Amino acid sequence: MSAPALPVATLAEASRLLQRRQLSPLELTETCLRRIEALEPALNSFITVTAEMALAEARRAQEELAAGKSRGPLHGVPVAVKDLFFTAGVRTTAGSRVLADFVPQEDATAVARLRRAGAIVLGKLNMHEFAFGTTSVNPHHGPVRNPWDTGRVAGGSSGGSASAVAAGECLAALGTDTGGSVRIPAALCGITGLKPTYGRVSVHGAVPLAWSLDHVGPMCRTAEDCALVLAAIAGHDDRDRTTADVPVPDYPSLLDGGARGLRIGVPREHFFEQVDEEVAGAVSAALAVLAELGAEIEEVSLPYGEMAPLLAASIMLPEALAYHLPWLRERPGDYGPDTLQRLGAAALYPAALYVQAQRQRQVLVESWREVWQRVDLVATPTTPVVAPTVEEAARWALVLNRNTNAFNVSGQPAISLPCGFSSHGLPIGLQLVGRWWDEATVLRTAHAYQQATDWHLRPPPLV
Amino acid sequence: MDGQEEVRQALARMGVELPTRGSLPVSPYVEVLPRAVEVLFSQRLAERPPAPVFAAPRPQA
Repeated sequence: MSAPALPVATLAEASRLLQRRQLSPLELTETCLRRIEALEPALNSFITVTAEMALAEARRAQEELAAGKSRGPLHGVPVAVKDLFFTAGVRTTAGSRVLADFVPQEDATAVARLRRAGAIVLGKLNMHEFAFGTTSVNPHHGPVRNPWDTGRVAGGSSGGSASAVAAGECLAALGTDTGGSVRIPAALCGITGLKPTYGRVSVHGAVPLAWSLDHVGPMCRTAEDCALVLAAIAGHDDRDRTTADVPVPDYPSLLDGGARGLRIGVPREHFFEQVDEEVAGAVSAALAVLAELGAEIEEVSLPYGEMAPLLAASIMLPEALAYHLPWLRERPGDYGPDTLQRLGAAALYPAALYVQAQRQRQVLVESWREVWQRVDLVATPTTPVVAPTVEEAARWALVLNRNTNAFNVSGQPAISLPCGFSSHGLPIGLQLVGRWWDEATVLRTAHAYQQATDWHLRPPPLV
Repeated sequence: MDGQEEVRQALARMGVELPTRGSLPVSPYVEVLPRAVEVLFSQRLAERPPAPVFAAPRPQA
């Protein structure tokens, strides 16, 4: 079965046509569902497709728009969510046999906010089991495959989210990011993925991996699309006490400030070491584009940066074990081998190490606050390498998150956006990291870059 | 005791019995962590005054 063409390239473009009633929610939803049917045998992005529910939602959205009632820019836009977000009445597996039959009674806050904004949920996306890995090679549901080369992984843990968006199966997706799980697959699949500040988006109703590192974020084709989704899902939630009760800026209206005068720091130590030559070259070229746009590029040092992966592991593993211990006692055989391996490793972590890691984390944050007083953003390669093959993925698992997990430790907003391709035609990601709560500058800079380049608009060969 | 047996015993102390003996590969996290990291953290924390891990909620304005 061949996939029908998607009539739009981006969420923003779809939104404009939907609002002008030049495109109908039903037509767009049906096209996405046909694309899912045609492409899923090759990609395996979805665990559950909720076609009937989506068509019903599309009809409702269409009636509302026809009656002149618009819920905003997401009204009638087909999206999908990682299969760890609770969805009322729809199975939520977190990619594991442990939750194979779990059907939540309610939506996660982020999903409820998407629906309230008029988005149409097409289904639940494949992922690394319990979000505990960077490859999305799932032992129960099969590996998520990369639309740029289906012999390669999509990255993880939100691999299905990235693959589905890159392949045009949906116009936006929700992911979660505990050590890079939004940004890594975004980089490997050639899309744009934002991890907001810790506490900006509610994690209520998202199956946790590590409470003090988990973030929810949008995954889309462009920074503009990410701004539209973030505006819908951000903000305080009484059911998640980690969310901050601070004003949410109108992100889409702040996109057009350009990059002129912004100070962008480049931390050569750690973040540019052991990076593939083609990745380093693409990132250097991207920095040159930002300089041409008027940004000031300067080298910076991020104190304790080399310790960040160790800090992330020392916090993530014990928190994950704390969450999983009851299930682990009752049904260890329902976990896949690599999740079991990581939870087993966590059992060797003494409480003292976790405490020291949390103390060291505070020192790191204080040091980095001083750095971000001198610069507005920091830029790094998102991943040191491009997408590995499915067979070799496990070997690269701890390399893929080398540059991302630092900003889960610090809790800062960070985006990955496409900035080039390897000689094998595989996408490369640029990571931009902002001050705490300043997603607006991160999105604005990414948008300025995307106005000057077209990496983000190139379609993968599969589609 | 090898890494695999060490993990198995640590899990058993927490009440977790793994399903099949010999089925658990050793994680690279076990090879790198935690002993070396504990030493590293202690050294680096000594360079700068340690931070607390808990702060009471601030009074309402």
